[in-house]
Amino acid sequence: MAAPAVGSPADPAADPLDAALERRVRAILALGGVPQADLPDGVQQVRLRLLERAAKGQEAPRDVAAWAAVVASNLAVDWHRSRRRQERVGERLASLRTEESGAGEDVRVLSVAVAQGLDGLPAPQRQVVVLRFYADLQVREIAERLGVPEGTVKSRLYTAVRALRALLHEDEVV
Amino acid sequence: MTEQGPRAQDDVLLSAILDEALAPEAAADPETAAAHRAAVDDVAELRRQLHLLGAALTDEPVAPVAPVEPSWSRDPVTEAPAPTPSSTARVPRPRPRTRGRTGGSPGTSRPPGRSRGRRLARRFAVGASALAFLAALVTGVSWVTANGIGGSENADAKSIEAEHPTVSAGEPQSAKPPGRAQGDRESMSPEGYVACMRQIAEGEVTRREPHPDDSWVELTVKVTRWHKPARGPARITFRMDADADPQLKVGQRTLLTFPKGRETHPYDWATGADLLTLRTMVVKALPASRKIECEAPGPR
Repeated sequence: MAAPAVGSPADPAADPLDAALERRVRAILALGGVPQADLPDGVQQVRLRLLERAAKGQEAPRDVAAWAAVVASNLAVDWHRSRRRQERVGERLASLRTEESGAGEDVRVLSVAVAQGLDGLPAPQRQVVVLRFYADLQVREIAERLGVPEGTVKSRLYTAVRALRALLHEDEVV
Repeated sequence: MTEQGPRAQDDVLLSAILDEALAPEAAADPETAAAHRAAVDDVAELRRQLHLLGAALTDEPVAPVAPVEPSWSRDPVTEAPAPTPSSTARVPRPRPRTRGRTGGSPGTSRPPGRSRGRRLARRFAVGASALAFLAALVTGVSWVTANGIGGSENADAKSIEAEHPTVSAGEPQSAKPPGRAQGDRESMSPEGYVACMRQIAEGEVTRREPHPDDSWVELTVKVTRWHKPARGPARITFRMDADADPQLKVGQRTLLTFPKGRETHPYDWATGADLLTLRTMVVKALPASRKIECEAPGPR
């Protein structure tokens, strides 16, 4: 994925998050369980961190999309810790007018199990699942950006995927 | 390859997670190769679902409602091919056939997420009127009229039709794409009906639990066949009006259709011979329905 343009110190007014990147950040926050009402705040925090980084004269992230994904996922984890509340994605999904999302009935029928599975994962596992399978980051990159051993990321991913997979295969139609 | 232990099944799952190919010796083993393919498929499905979830969850906020049934238990099986937007025709979404409530009262509690107005627009099952209904689908006769063959049902249907003129006439012509004749005939075609259904499944009623105030019941159906989409959960749970006619009983086979939008009460719940009739129609109409886009999706 090509890195979106990032505002430079010479152009402090430039928005470091283009529309596509903003939507991606919103999705990562939402998949992390940040309540819908708080998504704009979460996006603003990611944007602010990028602007602060530029204002301090720091080099722009080499891959802004990956950087923003990790920042957003960390925000989601912190959201739970600090506010002790999280939105149940499964419940929110059930209330969505999915036809207008472009996802249609697939979301409604096929995604509820995944949403409920996400809701049931510990935050660290949920974070790596979102980074690996939504943000499409490699395990090594996730480990580097989160500052944890690669084996830890693998272990979390493995445990989470095994749990989600079991959910998907429960009550299989015969 | 993995710190997860020696079990081959663990290894293949981790390989799938890491997008790694199997080692040649492992790939040579048919069982391991099959397990790896299954794991790769599951991981791909998980990835796809996360992207769909991400898209759904970042939609514009909608008015909060209570969790909406049917609450699907899990388990996707196969998928129906999505229609190609550029090649799809558009039809007005069928409006519900209606009937008056025969029990309960306006003051009784409602299932969460359903307004009183939507409850009033209650549909009735494919029952004795199934043949008339299907004839109406084919001939383009007004849906409401076709189904309102019974005295009180007819009267109720007509009263609501008068209240909502589009109930049987479809959307205004101005809402239709230019160059297409989209009158009642098209909107009432079997293909249009199937296109405007979110889910169509058949199975056996395994649970029926009345709500304490007797206004609605919660039902669970063990699905044995998914028509639309082609794969779905093994069980569905939903609520129906307690006075729905015919009532579904435990052990009974039924074919359920749920309309597009947020409506979660079944649109049709065919049983017995009607099930066979409706199934035949659905199966025949499914292929062409994929080229039809239902107009005005969303809550009624």
